[in-house]
Amino acid sequence: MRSIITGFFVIFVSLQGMAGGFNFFNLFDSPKSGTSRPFNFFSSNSGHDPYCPDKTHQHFRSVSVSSKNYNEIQDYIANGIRQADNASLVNKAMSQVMCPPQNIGAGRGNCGLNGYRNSTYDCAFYVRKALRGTILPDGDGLGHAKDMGCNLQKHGMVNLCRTGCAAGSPTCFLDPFKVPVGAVLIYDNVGYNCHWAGHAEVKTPTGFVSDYFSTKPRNIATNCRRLIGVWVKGN
Amino acid sequence: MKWLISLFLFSYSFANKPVSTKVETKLKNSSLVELLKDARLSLSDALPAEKQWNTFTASLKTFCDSFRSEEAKNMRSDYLEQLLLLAAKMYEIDSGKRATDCFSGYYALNAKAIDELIATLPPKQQAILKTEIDNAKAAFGRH
Repeated sequence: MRSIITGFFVIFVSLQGMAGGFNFFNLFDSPKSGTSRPFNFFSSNSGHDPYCPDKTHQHFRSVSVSSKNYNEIQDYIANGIRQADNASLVNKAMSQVMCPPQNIGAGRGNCGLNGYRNSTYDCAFYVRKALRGTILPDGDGLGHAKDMGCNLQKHGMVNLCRTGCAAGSPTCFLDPFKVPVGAVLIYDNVGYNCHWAGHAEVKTPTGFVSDYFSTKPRNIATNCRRLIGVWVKGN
Repeated sequence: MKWLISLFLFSYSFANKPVSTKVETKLKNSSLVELLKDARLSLSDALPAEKQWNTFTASLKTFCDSFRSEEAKNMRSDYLEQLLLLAAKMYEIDSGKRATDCFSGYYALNAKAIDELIATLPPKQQAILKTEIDNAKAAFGRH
């Protein structure tokens, strides 16, 4: 009887091994660390969950001028007057890309199914149109997207990144999702094969708008764009 | 008993080998053309928004990275065909037209050959690509 049981066991184990699939021995392994998540009253009450650390300020600490940038952003957000200007900028920028309901999905007016127009590579044109008459006086163009920074500086706008105004400036490591609403984000091109004009867009409460609207910033999907400026209205 | 222990250890080593590396093998054996095709087909699936974005990001990365390949330098026709089909698909689903960020540079260098190949594509893809190329040209200097 004993030999029969042993024989069956050997055959079973051998088949498991040859198949290489289901692993009999792993059934007895304990769960890997991190997969179980015990409830912790202390972490819950303090608002700092050790399994999901608060990364709100982490990004700003990683750059050399981090705390200054962060304080400036907080001051900027607290300033109601400039927020009003920004609201008009954002509203104008959004109204430029919204499609009339009858055009959505009908292939008219370059409208996408998301209710906003599709990009026609006119980001600088649309951002300039939104800026003029809201936080900047009426006037001419502000140059190609990546060159816009220095023109914004001439109008008294401030770069929260402190990386300079010209194209080719060092990369800004601020998180586009966390910059103030109404900030103008300027992207430079990266590499030889990338479109040379760069990109410009305005931060809105729910995303980013230029000649189209997206919930994602431009540098998140492609390596061809790097952030070089986060421009806000100065004092 | 000795042979039993040997057999036991032998089978145990097989049982603990890493799960089949089919994916890695596939990637290794696949050509760039197949990768571009896979990227395009993955975009066709109806997926939840966030997963669709992740798929799109991965496809765009494949698309942009492919320009550094030997196939791109040699302008292989099968590569170009898959590249343009993928570009058309990405233009179709992305309102930001992000594919232009890296496609425009390659197009500028090889405009004639790409235009010739676009003319051989199905009408839908042909129309999409022509529209986007025309839009990009028209936007030149408009700011």
